[in-house]
Amino acid sequence: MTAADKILQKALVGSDLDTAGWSEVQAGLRDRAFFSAKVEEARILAEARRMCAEVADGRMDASEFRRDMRKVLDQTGYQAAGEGIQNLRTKARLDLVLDTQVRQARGWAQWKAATTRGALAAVPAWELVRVREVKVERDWDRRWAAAGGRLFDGRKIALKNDPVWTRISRFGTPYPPFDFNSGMGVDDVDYEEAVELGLIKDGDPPPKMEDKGFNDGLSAKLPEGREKELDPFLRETFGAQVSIDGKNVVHWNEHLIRDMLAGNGQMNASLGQGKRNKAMLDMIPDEAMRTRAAQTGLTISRQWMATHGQKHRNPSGKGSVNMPLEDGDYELIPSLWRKPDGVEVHSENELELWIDTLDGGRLRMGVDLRKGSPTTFFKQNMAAKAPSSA
Amino acid sequence: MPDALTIKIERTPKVAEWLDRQRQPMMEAGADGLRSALARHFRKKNATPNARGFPRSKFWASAAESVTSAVDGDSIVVAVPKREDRGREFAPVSLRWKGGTILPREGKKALAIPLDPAVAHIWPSEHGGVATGGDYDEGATSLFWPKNSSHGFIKDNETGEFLWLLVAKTTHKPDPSVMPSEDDLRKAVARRMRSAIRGLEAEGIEP
Repeated sequence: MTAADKILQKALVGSDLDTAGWSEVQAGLRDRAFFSAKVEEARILAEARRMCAEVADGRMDASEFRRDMRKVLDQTGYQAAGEGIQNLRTKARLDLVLDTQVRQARGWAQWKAATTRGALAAVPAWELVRVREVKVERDWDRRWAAAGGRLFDGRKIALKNDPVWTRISRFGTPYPPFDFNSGMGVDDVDYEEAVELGLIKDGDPPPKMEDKGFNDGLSAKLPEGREKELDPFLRETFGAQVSIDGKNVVHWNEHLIRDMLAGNGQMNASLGQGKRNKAMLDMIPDEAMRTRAAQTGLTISRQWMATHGQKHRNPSGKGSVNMPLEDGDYELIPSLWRKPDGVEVHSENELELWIDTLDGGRLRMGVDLRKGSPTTFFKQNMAAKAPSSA
Repeated sequence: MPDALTIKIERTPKVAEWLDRQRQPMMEAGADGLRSALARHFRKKNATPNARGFPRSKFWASAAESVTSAVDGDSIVVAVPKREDRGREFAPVSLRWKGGTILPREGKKALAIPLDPAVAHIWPSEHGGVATGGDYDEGATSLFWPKNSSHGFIKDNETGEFLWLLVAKTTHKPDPSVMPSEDDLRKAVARRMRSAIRGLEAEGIEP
């Protein structure tokens, strides 16, 4: 998997959370989510994810990313949460989004290469070093010590599998970058030097890494004493992408939609109660319908996805006003339920929610309020003329 | 001079199996060593101040982070991302190494070279308020292209200062210092493989 693939694997999580709020979310969950503070709009995140992957692949550069992202922001009617870095239109914020995503993905790719059996045998340890100049240097000595790291003549060195790497990271990952604009990276410490420093006894085998694939399910225990506060917060933020068991362990279903599309994963996925989706409820003009929608929980099933996909991925026939559905469109279903662009009342039991996509389509999903399941889901081509009723 | 002494090692099935088992980790170690040597070389280049005293683009730091390596049969392939423009592959690091001509992007008539540190790493279209989150101010800059000249300028209308130089193309001379020498790279791979032998021995690999 390349650095670009790593970015594309991330689940889109639109949320009103600010940076401080996101730092409350377990690091492992954050690493698997594509998000940006105070950006709720899944379409913006989907485009940002695609473009970040293109930059990581070398198919786009930073200036093109900024130009194209501003077009996306204009198309989606993005409203900034504030000025300066809080505004996604600014160069500073767009560069921060891109820099963080691309550097994390590249850091992951280099970490994979540095933790093969051969690479670990040759270089079992790393030294934390400055690799870029930054305007304001953080106190890494203190951070290293607070994370339990040892100093060797002032040098910050640890075996590659030492938990200190994850502990010093704001992102909870054992590889650089360790913080926003930190300028810190790693340098190699070979077997001989590791022995000299006493990190390994001469003749001892090099460290082993836990072989955890990116797609392996991830779980994390809620911090003790904060369960009551964090449980609803995580459920609200991640919806069906997390489940929390009776032992307060959060399980991450990162590829909920994609797995279901591929015929794997859960048979059914609950996308949550309508009552949580204020933006959607506010668009329903009728009070009684609003109450019914608030009481409805939407569930999608694997079977529905399979039969539905066969029909709508290749809409054919002359004069078709629908566009073929892609995996990315299905990924927008949770956003449709949470925050559509519009809602139409079709009957006393059916709502139709819609959201405009950036390729000139309009995703429409009918929801049966009695069954709590989708009735229709298709992408209307807004540029095509509607067929004549004659 | 002593006579040459040749000792032939019999390739018994056990020895052959042992050699096969070590091949992959040794190649992995070499690949990581090559990647690391290149990345370190690029990082050193990043430490050199910008020749014009402008803010650094961090081009070399980014190149260092993007180096990847892989084992391909008996070879180690090391790569830095490249991009495609009008059907041509455009590899920024390679261009600086081997030299070559940079043309404007598709749909653009000229390359804009910043003349003022304040507009370094900013496109002309991002000037006039866009970089700080506003809409583009049409009146912020104007184009100044002297008659019969091969180059033009983008001028700040408020201060009258030239912000960008516009040229149809620019050429990089070859710069061998962009890459470490082949000898240095070979030594880095060999050093890494030697270190791997110690680590692999410690895993208990004696036949």
